[in-house]
Amino acid sequence: MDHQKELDRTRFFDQLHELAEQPLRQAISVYQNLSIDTLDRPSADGGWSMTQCLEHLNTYHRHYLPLITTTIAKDPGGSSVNVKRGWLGNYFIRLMDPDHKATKYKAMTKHVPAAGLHASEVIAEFMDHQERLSKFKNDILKNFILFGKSSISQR
Amino acid sequence: MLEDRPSKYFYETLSRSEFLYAPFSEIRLLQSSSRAIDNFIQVSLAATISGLLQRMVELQCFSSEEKFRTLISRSPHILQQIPHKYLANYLGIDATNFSKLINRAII
Repeated sequence: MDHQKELDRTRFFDQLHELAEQPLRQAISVYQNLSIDTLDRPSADGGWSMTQCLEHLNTYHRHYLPLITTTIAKDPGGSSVNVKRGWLGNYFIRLMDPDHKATKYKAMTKHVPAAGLHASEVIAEFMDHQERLSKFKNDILKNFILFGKSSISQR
Repeated sequence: MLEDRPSKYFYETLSRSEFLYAPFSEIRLLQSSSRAIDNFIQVSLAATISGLLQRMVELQCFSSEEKFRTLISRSPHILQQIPHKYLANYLGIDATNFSKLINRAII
């Protein structure tokens, strides 16, 4: 993920699209085809299983996806050409970026996966979320065309 | 194509796809001017109808497990290319049932 404070929309939505597509492809080609035993097995160091890791991400999707949907609906044409981030947003992005992350953080209580998860349901929900995230670029692109501000590359 | 009327339905693709299209009038013109094109369209339509009849039989007569087994023996690669919820939907079986079948197949 780019850490610049200001990004033009094209680059921002291309990045967002790729960030959503890559895990989706991984889930389709690998995770959904693994046995439940493999998915539910704790990691070698006793940490979370794959199911628990994906559920952890699902808790964030459940929080952020409705917020993104509402924001796009409120300002469908986009009021600014560039996407700006505050210092706090940039700090958190850098903190969680696997390429720069050095320290392990304990998950906040509400993002700790609950007990009794069903692996296949967790993966199906994860893929649904990634699909929705990936579609945001198309929604924005459609709005840009409708509002005559198309500057996003269509793939 | 069959009745020269706009379709009531549309396709949404799950992966990058290419779609060839042409106006009905031009297809008809091609058919009348070229025997080979006319043959090609007849053969294509026959193959399409045959595929549809086969799918009808599978949907109406096969059990969930038979439908699942037929799909993975015909197109095993599809499991790594499409979210299973869409495959379950295509087969007309419940997503939970589909995941049980796939887990049994993996074991």
